[in-house]
Amino acid sequence: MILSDLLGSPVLTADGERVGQVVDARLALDGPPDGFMVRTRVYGLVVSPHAHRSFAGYERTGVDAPALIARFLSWRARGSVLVLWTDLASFTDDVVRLRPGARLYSPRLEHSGP
Amino acid sequence: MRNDRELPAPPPVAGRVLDADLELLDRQILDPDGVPISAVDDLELSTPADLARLDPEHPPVVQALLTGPILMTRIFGGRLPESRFIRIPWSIVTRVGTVVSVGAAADSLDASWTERWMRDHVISRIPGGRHDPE
Amino acid sequence: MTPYEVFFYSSGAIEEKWTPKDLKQSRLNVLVGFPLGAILSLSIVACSAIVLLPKGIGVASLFETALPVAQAFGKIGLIIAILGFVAVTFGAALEVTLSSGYALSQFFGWPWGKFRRPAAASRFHVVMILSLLAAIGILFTGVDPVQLTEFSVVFSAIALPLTYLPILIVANDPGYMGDQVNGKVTNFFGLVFLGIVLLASIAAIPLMIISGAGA
Repeated sequence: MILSDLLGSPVLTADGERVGQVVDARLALDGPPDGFMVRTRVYGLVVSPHAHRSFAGYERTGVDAPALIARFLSWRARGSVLVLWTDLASFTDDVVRLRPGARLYSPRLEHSGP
Repeated sequence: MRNDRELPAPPPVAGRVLDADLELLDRQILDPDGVPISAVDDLELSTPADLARLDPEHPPVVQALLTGPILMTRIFGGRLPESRFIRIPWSIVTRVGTVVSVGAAADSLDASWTERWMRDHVISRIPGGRHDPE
Repeated sequence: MTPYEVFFYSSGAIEEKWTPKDLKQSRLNVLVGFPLGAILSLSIVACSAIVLLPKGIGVASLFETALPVAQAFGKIGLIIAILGFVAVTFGAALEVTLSSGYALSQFFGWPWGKFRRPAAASRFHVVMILSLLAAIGILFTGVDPVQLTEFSVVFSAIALPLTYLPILIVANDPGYMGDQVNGKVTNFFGLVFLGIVLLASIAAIPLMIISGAGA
């Protein structure tokens, strides 16, 4: 499948409650060597409750300048979460469904690194 | 309203973490000599065996960068079928920074065939087309 | 910061392989050159208003704006002014042609640059050839070049924030700038100018309609 199949898809909890739409896929480069790189897997999905895609990712990168723009764009993307691949139950009919008891994590990149 | 500060940090990863839309999509791809090849238009991921019952032990794996005629779908919406894309295998990517570097020369890749076509059928028919600048 | 200027200037910096030393000269260029251009533009407006307006002379072509210069400095002044016009319009044509090549090539990710021979940047050169042909074709339709320039300047003003904002954001991105990210003072002025540019963008079309596009 391709990435755009995932982007924009609605994400629902096991109870059918809407979490938001997929705005990004977080990839982990922690596999065995694959050519020049390592095997890269989908680690999780960044989900936003808003209808628009993230612009420049201020809510995740921790860049805080220029102040007004950073604050405005972070506010626009407020409520974004990270869900792990292990918490995904199904991806059918363009809808991502979470497992019961799925946890919502902070989408900030500094929390995900090694 | 969920407050970002209340959300827990996810389990750590023993390697680099990349957000695909933020750091891969729309980035320039360069060959080892710095020659542009194309932009990253999409990513090819391995398809899980059973989409209705996703296996937590087998997440999709990045297989290739994709480049294709996405201009119209970007402007007007819709999705390009996978067959319309040209693949650049993930295994030849050497570095992901502000640009994506690959290890194969531009001319050896399918992804630059329109450039070669334009060169062979248009520019080389114009006098001086193959001359070096100044 | 109009789109064509941004693409031309930044691509030119790569074409000429700028180093940090070249930035100093570029800063001089910007701090002296652009205000000079603005003063010249205002002078043309002022001279036309003082000399031509009382006499009811309308300006229908670029060279007629040199009439006040002819009146003040005679033939020599006129020749210098006309040489200036030719240099400026020729330079602008070169800039815009290159810029159209840069903008499209960089958007799609094609090889680009005059430092590459045409065979090594085929689509870039084809875009420039087609732009030139299209421009010549437009002129042959007999459209008034002054009117056309006015329209395109207005639309550049409308598009200004679209190039300004990304540059302001990238100037603050440590991934691109390393430790050369903007300081707080630069960001303050950057945001102030963003506000001005947004105002100009919003006001551009209403102003054009109100002033009758210089008719």
